[in-house]
Amino acid sequence: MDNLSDQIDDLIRSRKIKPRPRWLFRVRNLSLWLFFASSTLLGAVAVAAMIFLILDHDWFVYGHFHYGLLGLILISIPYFWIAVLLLFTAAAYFNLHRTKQGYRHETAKVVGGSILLSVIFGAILFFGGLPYGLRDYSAGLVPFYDPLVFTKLDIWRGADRGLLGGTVLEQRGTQDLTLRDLDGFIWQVKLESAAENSGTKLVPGSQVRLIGRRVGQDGFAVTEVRPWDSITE
Amino acid sequence: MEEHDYLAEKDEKLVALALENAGVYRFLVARYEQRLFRYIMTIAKITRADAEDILQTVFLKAYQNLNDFDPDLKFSSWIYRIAHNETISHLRRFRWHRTRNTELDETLAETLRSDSDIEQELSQKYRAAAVRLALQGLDGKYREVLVLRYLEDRDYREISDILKKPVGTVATLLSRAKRQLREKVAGEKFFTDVTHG
Repeated sequence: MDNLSDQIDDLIRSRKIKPRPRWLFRVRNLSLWLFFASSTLLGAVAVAAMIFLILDHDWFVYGHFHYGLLGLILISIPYFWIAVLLLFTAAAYFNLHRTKQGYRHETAKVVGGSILLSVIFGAILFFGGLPYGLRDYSAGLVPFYDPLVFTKLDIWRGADRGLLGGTVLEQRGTQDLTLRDLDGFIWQVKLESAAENSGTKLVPGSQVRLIGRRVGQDGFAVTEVRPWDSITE
Repeated sequence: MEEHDYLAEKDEKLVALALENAGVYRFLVARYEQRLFRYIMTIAKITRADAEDILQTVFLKAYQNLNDFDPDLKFSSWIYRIAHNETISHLRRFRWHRTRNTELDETLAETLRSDSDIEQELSQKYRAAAVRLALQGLDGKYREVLVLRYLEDRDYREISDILKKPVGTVATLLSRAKRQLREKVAGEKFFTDVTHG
């Protein structure tokens, strides 16, 4: 290691090496902070979607599911959005870690802090109305979105378990309806006496949730009628 | 300014001066070349020529990135980090396993002897030999942190800045490193043979 100082000095001069400009490092650091903020915000979108899915769910029908409420909870957990949140939380962590001195923060604090920020911003987005239409957007964006997320719509696609949702096409008398379900199938619906006086509008075009039992191929006997309402409506 | 004045300047001041005048950088090189050379040789079993190549790259990279030096850190932590990263990159590039350098292991073993936790648990007579042998079987991450703490005499914050890990993680690593070292020393066949032979 003969006179390394001279060697380095010579190399710097002969190769005309210059220190990279300060702005380059500032831009890099700023970009990392922006990526961190973006990741946290995208995590917030996932949280907003989760809040929507949880609050918009019809939990009261748990009796129609195998294993009751626990069964309904297990199939309704928004795994897709949890995965999205974890993905962006990981991205936030790695970006923060690469900022100047970002590595000084404990992993648990960064991950916890990022999730907390996502929850706060997610709540703001939720109450700001973001989840309205989010489902359709997500479904368009992610081809396998529907099988991954069990929503309120999926609950009312369960004629076999006694849950049917759709739009009234025709009303005949006080007991008979024709209904188009959420997948476009036509059902002949008969209201039993308890359902007749529910007070729910059953005029053509009304969107309803029906609880009862399937009768044959396209028949459905109704014991309870509820209007279709959503927290976004 | 005379050369003598440069030698008296603090690292951070020399960085600022080197950014204005490339010739000043040689004083930083002179100040750190021996320490970094020893550090590189300690964490990687490589030839002197390879260590010198790495060292040259370290100083050139440090110069190119001089504007990235954060004055909130010690310059020594910053340049040790570059040396650490460059050595690891070199090892990965050549797929070499980090092993030991016997001469430096002895220095480290001697240094570790004075650590009170270990001192209490090891016999006076065979401690250095056992520690030296145990170090050979230590995980790289544990060996690295022991080297920085006991051979390079870095405090937790400096180790944190060099390895880019939180201080809490450094403390955990050190604690585990010492525990693994104790276990290795305790289970060292040579040590057992010597003490019972």
